[in-house]
Amino acid sequence: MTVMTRRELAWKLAPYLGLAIIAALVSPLIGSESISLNKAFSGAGGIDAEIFFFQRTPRVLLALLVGGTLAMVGACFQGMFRNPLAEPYTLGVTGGSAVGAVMAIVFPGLHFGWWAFSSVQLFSLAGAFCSMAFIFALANRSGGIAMNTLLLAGVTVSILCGGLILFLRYIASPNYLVQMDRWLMGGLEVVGYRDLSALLPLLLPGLGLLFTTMVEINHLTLGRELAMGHGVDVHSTQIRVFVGGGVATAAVVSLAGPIGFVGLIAPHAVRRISGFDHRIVMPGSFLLGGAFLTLCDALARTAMAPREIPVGVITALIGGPVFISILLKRS
Amino acid sequence: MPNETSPRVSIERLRYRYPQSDWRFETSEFHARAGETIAIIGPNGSGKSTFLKLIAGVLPCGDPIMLDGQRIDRSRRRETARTLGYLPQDPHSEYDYRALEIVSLGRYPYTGPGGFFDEHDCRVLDDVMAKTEIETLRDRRMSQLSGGERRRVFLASVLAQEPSVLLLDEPTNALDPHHQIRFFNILIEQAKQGLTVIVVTHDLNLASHFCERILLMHQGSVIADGRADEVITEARIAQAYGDGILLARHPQTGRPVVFPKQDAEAS
Repeated sequence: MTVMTRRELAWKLAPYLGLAIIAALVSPLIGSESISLNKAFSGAGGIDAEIFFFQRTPRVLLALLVGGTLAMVGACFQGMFRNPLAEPYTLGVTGGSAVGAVMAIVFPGLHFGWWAFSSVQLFSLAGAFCSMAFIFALANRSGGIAMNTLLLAGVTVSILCGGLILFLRYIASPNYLVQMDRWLMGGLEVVGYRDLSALLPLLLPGLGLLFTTMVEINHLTLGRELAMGHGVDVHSTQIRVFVGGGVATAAVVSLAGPIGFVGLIAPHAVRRISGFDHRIVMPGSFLLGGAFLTLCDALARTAMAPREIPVGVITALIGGPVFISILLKRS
Repeated sequence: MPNETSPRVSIERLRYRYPQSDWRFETSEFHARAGETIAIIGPNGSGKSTFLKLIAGVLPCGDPIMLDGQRIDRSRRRETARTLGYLPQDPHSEYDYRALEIVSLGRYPYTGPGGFFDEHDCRVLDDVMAKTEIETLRDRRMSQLSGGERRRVFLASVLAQEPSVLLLDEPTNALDPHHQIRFFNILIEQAKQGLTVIVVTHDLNLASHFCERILLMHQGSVIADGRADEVITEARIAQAYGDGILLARHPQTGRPVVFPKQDAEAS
C-alpha cells in the first residue's frame, strides 16, 4: 500500500481514467436522435450541434461528476466506517435532501429561482445540511465522532425523512405527485452548463476535503486506536470525511436526486481489481463511478426511446444483482 | 533532550473515569526508563488497558503525561508517534492487506501528504521485518497468516514508527506457548537496544520470566511495582486474584511462577 511509488499509482489509475474518457467520448453520440459529428462540428450550428453541445455533453459531464462523487464518497465511508454496506446516503443526507426537494415541489409558494438554482435545489441543499448538522451534533464527542451513533443516527434520520415524505405526499395536490416521484427516482435530464457550474462551488471543496483523507482512511480501516497509535489525527480525519462527503453528496443529490447503488458498487469493484489502498480506491472509484453512471445514462436514454427511463432505475437494476454477487463471493 | 537516565515516560498522578461509570482509575507516580521491560498485570477490569490507553493518548486525560520531557497532550499526534508506539488489543483490518502493506503504515509519522516512501523508509521496513522475522511473509495476505504471524506483522508496523517507547496491550493473547515466547524474545531484543517496553499481559509466568519490572493492578490502582519476586508474592496475588493461585519457583531462573491451586475438596 504505502510502498507504492507515484509512477505505480499513475499506472494503476490509468485504466480507470481511460474508461472514463471512453465513456465521456462515446456517450454523447448515443441517444434517441442520431446525430452527425461532421454537422455538429461544422460550425454552422443546426440541430446536430444543439443536441451534441448543449444537451448531451453537459449531461455526460454531469453524469461523470455525479457518479464519480457518489462512488468516491462511498469508498471513503466504507473505509472510515469499516462497513462494506456504507454508501453516500448512510449519513441521512439524502433523506433531508429529499424532504427539502419535496417541500419545494409540493408548496406552490416555494416555487422560485435564484441564480442558477431552482427552489427544489435550494431546499434540497438546506434539507441535507439540516440532517448533517443534526447527526453531527448527536455523534460528535470530544475524542472523536462515535461511528456507531453516526450510523444509527443516519438510519434514523432517513426513516424519519421517509415518514415526512409520505406525509407530504398525502397532503400534496395530485398535480405535483408525478414531479415528486420523478425527483425521488433520480435522473440527469434537464441540465445545462449553468446548472453544472452551479454545482461546482459546493462540489469542489467537498471533493477536495475528501482527497486530503486518502492516506488516513487506510489507517482507519485498521481501527481507531491503531490509527491513533500510528499518529493519525482521527477526529480531524472523521470531520473532513463527514463534512466533505456530506457537502459533496448534498450538492449532487440536489441536482440529480438520489441515484442509488453507484456509491456502493464502484468502490467494491475497484478494490477487487486494484487492492485496498485508498489512494487508488478513492480516485479509481471516482473515475469508475463516473464512467458507470455515464453509460447507465446512455442506456436510460436509448433503451425505451423516445421515452427515457430514470437513470436511478437503471443503476438499481444493474447494481442490485452485481452487489449480491459481490456479497456471495465475499462470504 | 533527555539524558540516558532521565525517564522516557513520566507521570506524577493519573486519574480517569469513564463516562457514565462509577469505576475510577487512579495511580500515583510512574516513571519508565530507556531499556526497561515493564509488564502490567492484574485481573480483568483492574485498569491495565486503561492505563496503557491513557499513556498512549487514546483516552483523553487532564493530568500531564510526559514523554521525553514533553507533555503528550500538547504535542501533535504525528510527532508523538515518532517516539511512542502503541499496539492495541486484537488489532485487525477490515480489508485483506498484504503483510508489507500493514507494516508500511507504521511510517505514517515520517511521510508527506501522499504517503510515498524514500530510500530510508524502505530500509526501515526491511529492518523491522527482519527483526520481527516476517521477511518471508511480506507479500502474503493477512488472511493467509497464522495468529502468531499476524501479531508479528502488527508489531513490525509499530516498530516501523522507530519509537523509543512501545506500549503493547495483550500482544500474545490467544497465541500458543511457542509463539508467545518468540514474541517476547523479540521484545527483549528491542529493549536491549534501548527501547522501553510496557506490555499488558494476563500471563503472569511470561511477565515474571521476561520482564524486569512488574506493575500489579487491582480495582483501578497500582498495588505493587517492582521486580517479579517483589510483586508476585502470595499476599499480593491473593489480594488481586483471590486465593486460587499457587506460587512456585522456576527451576532454572528461580523467578516466581504460578499454578492453579488444587481444590482441597476436589482432591
